[in-house]
Amino acid sequence: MISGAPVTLSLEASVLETLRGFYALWPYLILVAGILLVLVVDWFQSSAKSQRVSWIALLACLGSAVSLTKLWPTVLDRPVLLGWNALVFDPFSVFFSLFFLVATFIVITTSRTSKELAGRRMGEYYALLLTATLSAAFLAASQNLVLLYLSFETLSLSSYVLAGYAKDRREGVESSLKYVLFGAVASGIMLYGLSLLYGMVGSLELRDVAKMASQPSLSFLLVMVLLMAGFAFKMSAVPFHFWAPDVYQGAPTPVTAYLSVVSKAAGFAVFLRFAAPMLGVPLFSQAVEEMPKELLFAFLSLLWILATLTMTFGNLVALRQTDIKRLLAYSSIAHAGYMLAAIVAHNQAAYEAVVFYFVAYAIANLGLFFAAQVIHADKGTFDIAGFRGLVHDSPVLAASIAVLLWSLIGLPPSAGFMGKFFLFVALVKQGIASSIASFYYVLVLIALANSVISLYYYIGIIRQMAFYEPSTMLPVCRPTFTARFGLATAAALIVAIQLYWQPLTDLSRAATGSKTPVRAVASYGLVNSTPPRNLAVGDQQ
Amino acid sequence: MVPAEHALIVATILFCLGAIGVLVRRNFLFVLMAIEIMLNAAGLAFVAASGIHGQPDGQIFFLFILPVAAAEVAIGLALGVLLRLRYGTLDLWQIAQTRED
Amino acid sequence: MILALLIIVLLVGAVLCALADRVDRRVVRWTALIITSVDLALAIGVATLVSQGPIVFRLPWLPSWGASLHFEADGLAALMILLTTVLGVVAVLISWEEIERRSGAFHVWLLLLQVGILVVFLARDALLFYLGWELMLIPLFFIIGIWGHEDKQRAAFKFLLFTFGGSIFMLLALLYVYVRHLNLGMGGTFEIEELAKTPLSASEQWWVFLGLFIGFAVKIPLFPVHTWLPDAHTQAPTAGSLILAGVLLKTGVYGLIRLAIPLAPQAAEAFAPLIIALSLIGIYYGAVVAFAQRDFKRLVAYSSISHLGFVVLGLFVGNAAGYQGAVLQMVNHGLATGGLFLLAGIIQHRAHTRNLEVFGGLWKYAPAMGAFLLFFAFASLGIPGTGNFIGELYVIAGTFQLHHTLGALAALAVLFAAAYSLKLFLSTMHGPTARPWRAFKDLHIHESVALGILCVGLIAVGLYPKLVTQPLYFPPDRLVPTTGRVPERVIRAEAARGSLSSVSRMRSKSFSLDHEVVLVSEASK
Repeated sequence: MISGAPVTLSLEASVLETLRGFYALWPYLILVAGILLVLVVDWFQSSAKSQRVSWIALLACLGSAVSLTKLWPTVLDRPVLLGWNALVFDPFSVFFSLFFLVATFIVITTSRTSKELAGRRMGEYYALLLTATLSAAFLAASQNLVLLYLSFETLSLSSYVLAGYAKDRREGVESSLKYVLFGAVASGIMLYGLSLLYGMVGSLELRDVAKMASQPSLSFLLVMVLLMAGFAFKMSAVPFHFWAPDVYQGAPTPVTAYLSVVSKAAGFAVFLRFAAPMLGVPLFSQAVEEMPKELLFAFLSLLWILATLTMTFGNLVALRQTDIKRLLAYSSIAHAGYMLAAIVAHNQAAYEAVVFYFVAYAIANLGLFFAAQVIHADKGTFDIAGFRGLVHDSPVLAASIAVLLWSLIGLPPSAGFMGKFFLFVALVKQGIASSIASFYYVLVLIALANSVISLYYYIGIIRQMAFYEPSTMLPVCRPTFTARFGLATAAALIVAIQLYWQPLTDLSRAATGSKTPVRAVASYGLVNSTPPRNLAVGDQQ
Repeated sequence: MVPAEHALIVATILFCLGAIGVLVRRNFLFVLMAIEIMLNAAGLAFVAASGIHGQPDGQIFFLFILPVAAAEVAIGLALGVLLRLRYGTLDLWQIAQTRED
Repeated sequence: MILALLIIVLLVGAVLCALADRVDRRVVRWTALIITSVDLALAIGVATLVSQGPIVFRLPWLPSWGASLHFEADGLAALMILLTTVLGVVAVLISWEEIERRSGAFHVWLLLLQVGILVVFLARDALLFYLGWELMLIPLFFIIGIWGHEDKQRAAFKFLLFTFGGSIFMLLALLYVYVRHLNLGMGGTFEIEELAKTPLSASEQWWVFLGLFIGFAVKIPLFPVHTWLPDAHTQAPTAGSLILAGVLLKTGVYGLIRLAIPLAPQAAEAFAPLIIALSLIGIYYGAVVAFAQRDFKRLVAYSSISHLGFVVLGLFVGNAAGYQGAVLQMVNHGLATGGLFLLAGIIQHRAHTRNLEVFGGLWKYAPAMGAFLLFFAFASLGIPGTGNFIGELYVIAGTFQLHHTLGALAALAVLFAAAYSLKLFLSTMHGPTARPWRAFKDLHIHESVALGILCVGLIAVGLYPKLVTQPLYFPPDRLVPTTGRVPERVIRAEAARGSLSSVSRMRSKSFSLDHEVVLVSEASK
């Protein structure tokens, strides 16, 4: 903490900068207020009406999201540093915060109708959901190892409880057990890595860590491997994926959707930020430190292997699944593999592609888990057999599910296709520029082959829906208008992104700093040593 | 005075012990304790490194690790109660076996 | 605008069909018929307009990505969309009685299938082309999977897996060219014409061509990757088989002409011997295996492989005769094989079997059907008077120009075609009546109309092949790429600089064929 603050900073400037920072903190404060309010209000509710507090949670999300959109132009102009450089609000973190909030908003709406959660006190549930979102947002924004670890753990701890929220269900407890054990071990390994890192660097700031990367050392690679344990756990990447299928299956469906989108995105966001300077991507601010060639290659090889294993494993095991939530769990492991593959490209395009891909993935996954919940509500099963003949029950529902699955395969016309397209563009770009082109091309080929494998199980569901008559053993699925409307919107969004993806690529570019004016980047690096400018900006606020 | 490097070595040994404990212990409570050992090993390494660099940062980090570890244990124990109620045992192997049945 | 209208009409039609489904099955059929007829009329309009020059429709889509809604119809494209729309009408007619279940959905998919195909034929934007390419998969997957025959699901899935598996290589190749072009610093573009200007080294071209070729070869399908075709054909409902054989397979050949050869002309030349060998193997393999089949549709499916072998052979022998023959054969095969599949469907609908061994003596009960079958079987074996004769003649002539032995080999294959075509006809219509086909009705009026349309087309092409070959060479500065022998961009540049004569001179130089010069200049008159 002390080491981060340059001596030149006067007290006055520091105070003003912090004041400016509080402006950036607004969205998060709203969220905190929401958490507290949910808990307090729930205290006065009867158990039966506990679901009411979801309105507060929704409002908190909405308010936070609105103030984030107001913050957006400010941070686009110049990132805001807060808490002695521990938090940075740049487009990257603000984008991810917004992303988490939108996803949480959707998860809360789906939780309201969930039968798995019915009849429980919901105050803690929503409070934990918002806490997890808050910590995910801080995780994406943390510039300091302490904050990184704290938000990582807060996210994990709230996820553990959420995953086991339906505690009277057998799978709930078991999956929670698995989650806690894996999570604790993974974060323990990561923490040990952090301590070694601190030992080597002597500073807890990410910037200083980046500088360390420029000195070739094998122990640095060891640290990266240890840290990858934590990140891979959150991304549910091989070899820290074992928890995912059980937890996804055992957790209440809205929580599963949350884990597969927000938790995973948080893992990617923190990894992208952490690795950016070492991979040579100027993610705003961060000075690019050229990693020595051999070390970089070793690190990329590690990622390469992880990506290949993750997507291949996820897809191959998904082939044998009969439970929709388990199937989607393995599919989400596979998607983590695709995104890791893009990171291997270690260029700006790769970062943009991952952000784009995540949006496409999130729409499809939130939609599909919601669909699973809707079908479960009527048919009482998460088995794929529940999808049988769905097109006869509700054509709109079936068609929307088909579009979402189509997007996950990565076939056009869908957002998923564009996502894969950009991933591969990033890899091919790097391949053309690099002397070891086949390193990247082979990865593209593996990813493409994997999407062919994934075709099999995704299409399997479409087959169930379209080719068969509904099973007479199960009740007819009669989704409400809201459910149909929500899913149709998701499907329409997927297709719309294919037809006009410009806004989303603009967004992903802005979020990864491609279009940040040079001025902003320059001022950021010097933010603390140029008090006059700070004062000026502070005054504007 | 003990050199800081020694503390780092102890931390490494502790961490390995904790990791081994997680892998081989059958009782849920002992697994939790092993995890605690891992966390504290990292904490020790932080303090030691902080001594090497002559900065308080590592010690501050350790102060933050403590509540996190406590929170983790709290959740773990709550889960332990649930497990005990459901399975009548805290033996992870037995629990795993009942699952397969 | 007319090009956009072609697609919009179909899309509107799909929506209307979905709505009409709530009223009645008959309304759906009539809606689909009217829509496809309107589309046919538009296509005829395009075909007549195109003789005055290519029709271009261009709308900015995402300018900063270099993607545009760029449709363009020249002679070749006009021919193909004409074929598509004709078969579109025929497909609706033939499904009149056959499709009873979920008729609305069927027609929606049928119309969407045509949308995909038209996009492929018209797109001059690589991304748009790829969208259309994958868009063709979905409808056909459902058409086979829902309305197909006994083993429909496996066939539908196999079809999807093969074509998707092929298309990923194509995507990779397109991506590579896109990024290479991006690296030139002129901004990204998906315009095929622009992409073709990307300077690629010989080895890069080799890989790009390989990727594209795998994608297209699966669709055509060429010999080693053909195994999905017999299954898909056998299991598909009649309309599905018709569109599949009639136009879908041609999209593969069309892709070779439009994308693979222009993007990697040198590699196309390097690959030519291999491709010629594969297509010759395919011609013989398809014919021999077709003869051994007992299933009506399987026989026709294998004959398709043989015929498509001719098309690809003509395309890669590297001269104008071969190229013209290839295009002729594309049209003829669409009509003749389409006709055979129609008959297969009609007979199966009545007899509930496709087994050739239980047929026999059907002529007695259904003379009109017999006459049509006779005609299409003869067309398939290439009897003079039908388009197939002219097409095969051109291809064989082109092959002879390349090499005598190859030409002889190609010519000999016609004998095999005679064998399976006659087997098909004889075992169905002639011989002893194997079963008492009491209830076997002759053709309905709508069936006769459908078959009649195809017949007229075949005879027209047979008697006046210029109908097909004429638009191919007009206007002179937009010569369609012939083969990899002369890179298209060179031809185009030459044509832009000088006159047609310089082009023909260049071509004759590169092939040392006097005949070719005659052909080109003749066509341009």
